[in-house]
Amino acid sequence: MPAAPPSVVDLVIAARRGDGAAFAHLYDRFAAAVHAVVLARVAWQDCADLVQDVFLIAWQRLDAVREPAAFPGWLMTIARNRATDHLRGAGRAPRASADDRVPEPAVAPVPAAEVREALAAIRTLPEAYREILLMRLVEGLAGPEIAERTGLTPGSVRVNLHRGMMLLRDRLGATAAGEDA
Amino acid sequence: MSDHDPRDDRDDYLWDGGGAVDPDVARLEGARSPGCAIAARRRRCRRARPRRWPYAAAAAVVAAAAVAAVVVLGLLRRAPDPGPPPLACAAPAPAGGFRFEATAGAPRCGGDIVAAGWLPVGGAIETGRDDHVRVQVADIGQIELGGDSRLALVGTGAAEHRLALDRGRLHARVSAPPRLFVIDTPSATAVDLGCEYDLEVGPDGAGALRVTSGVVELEGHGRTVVVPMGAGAVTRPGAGPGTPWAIDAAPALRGALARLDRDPADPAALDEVLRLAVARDSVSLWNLLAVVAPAARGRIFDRLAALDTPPEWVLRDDVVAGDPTAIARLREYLEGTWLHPEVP
Repeated sequence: MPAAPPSVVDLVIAARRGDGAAFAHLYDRFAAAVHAVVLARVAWQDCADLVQDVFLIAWQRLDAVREPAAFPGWLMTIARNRATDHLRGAGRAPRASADDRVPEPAVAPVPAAEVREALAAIRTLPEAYREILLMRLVEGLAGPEIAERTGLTPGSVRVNLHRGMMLLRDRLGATAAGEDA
Repeated sequence: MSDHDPRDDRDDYLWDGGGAVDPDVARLEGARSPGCAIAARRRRCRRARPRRWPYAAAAAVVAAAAVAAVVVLGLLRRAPDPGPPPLACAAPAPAGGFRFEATAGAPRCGGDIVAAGWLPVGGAIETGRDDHVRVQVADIGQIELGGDSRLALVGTGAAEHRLALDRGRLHARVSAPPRLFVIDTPSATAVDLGCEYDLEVGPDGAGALRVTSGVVELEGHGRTVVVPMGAGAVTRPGAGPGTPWAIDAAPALRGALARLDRDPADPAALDEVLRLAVARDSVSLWNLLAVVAPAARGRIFDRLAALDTPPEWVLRDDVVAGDPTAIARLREYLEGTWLHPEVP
């Protein structure tokens, strides 16, 4: 029987002792969620570098987390702050989407323009829905994984996914109707 | 004919990729990598691997930290003797404690006036009428302690930080996983679920809670109530917490709730609550589900449904039967309204 994966608390405790492999596990587990939090605010092509920055800051300040269980919320706060700092430095509006150079796959089931439109619509949603929808739709995390990565309760994530998706359908529907008219 | 609603499956698909494929969700999922739209079902579609953690940069940080540690150790070895042991609240205690500072007046801790220091486990801060103290709660938040108050530190650790407000008032602001921060009062216990709130305890041990952000659970004498932002509740010695109400609830509704708290079988009080309740009062209605009889639960569910269509996955029969899972799911749904009232 495969061994259960180490808990976030165990990984944080080990990483605080200087265990680089434990921190690499944390990186693998949380990188997608951090990417979503950053993507909720900045252009796509800037996200990868910002994700690296967030983890570098986390590694340097890991001793500041006195409660290992608080790591997910602490990491997401760093990601939000780093994204905000980036926007401040670049002097750009936080919801700019025209800059998003969404990667165009060789055989794309959805055109990049449509992805940009969906991304722009998601960025107009309240923050509670924006990040969670990006984690689910763009990063491919399931609801229980989102709950673990964010520190939210599964019930809260489920409700926010449901309500966020309802709002997103409305916004995308309104855009499509506007184009049809 | 089947009672099965296909929307339930679509919600399952949004939740974890199970159930019937929701075409809207699948289409948006397809945006993240070619060919994923359908393969994403049942989690077969792997997302792109993130870049690896840069070990070289991490190693440089570790090396820098090691050098800094050597320097600090060298300085410590040359430090003079610390002198006589400090007062109980003047320095960190071996069992842990919270740093505090007086922002007004001259509070007492450990029997002495201490302008700034450490509240030790087992110790208490006492304020006079004009005193005001800021307490740092580990790395999860702050407490602003008002005048004529007594706040004790019961314990602090990875699993829980527990304080006791014996009298007076405080404002707490905490950002932490649920249930990590707890405050005991003479008539109830406030369990933080990630939030900001004001708590007050009168000379007779009765308490009042008002939540400005997030959610607090009040527990005592066998009853637990959920108090979200924009709501408040009172606690009574020997009776525990009362039914919460929206801060701007009608006085007549609050009166009827108080009568129901004294006698949950009072039919006239229930009639009045149901007649007066509007959307903001769903917090009161949901909390009543735990204390009233099954028939009354049905009437409360119907009123809630009239105010805000409940989700498909919460069935009236389950709520009437007192099924804790159904009632909890109803709460999770309503929390969206309580915590994000700006969203339609």
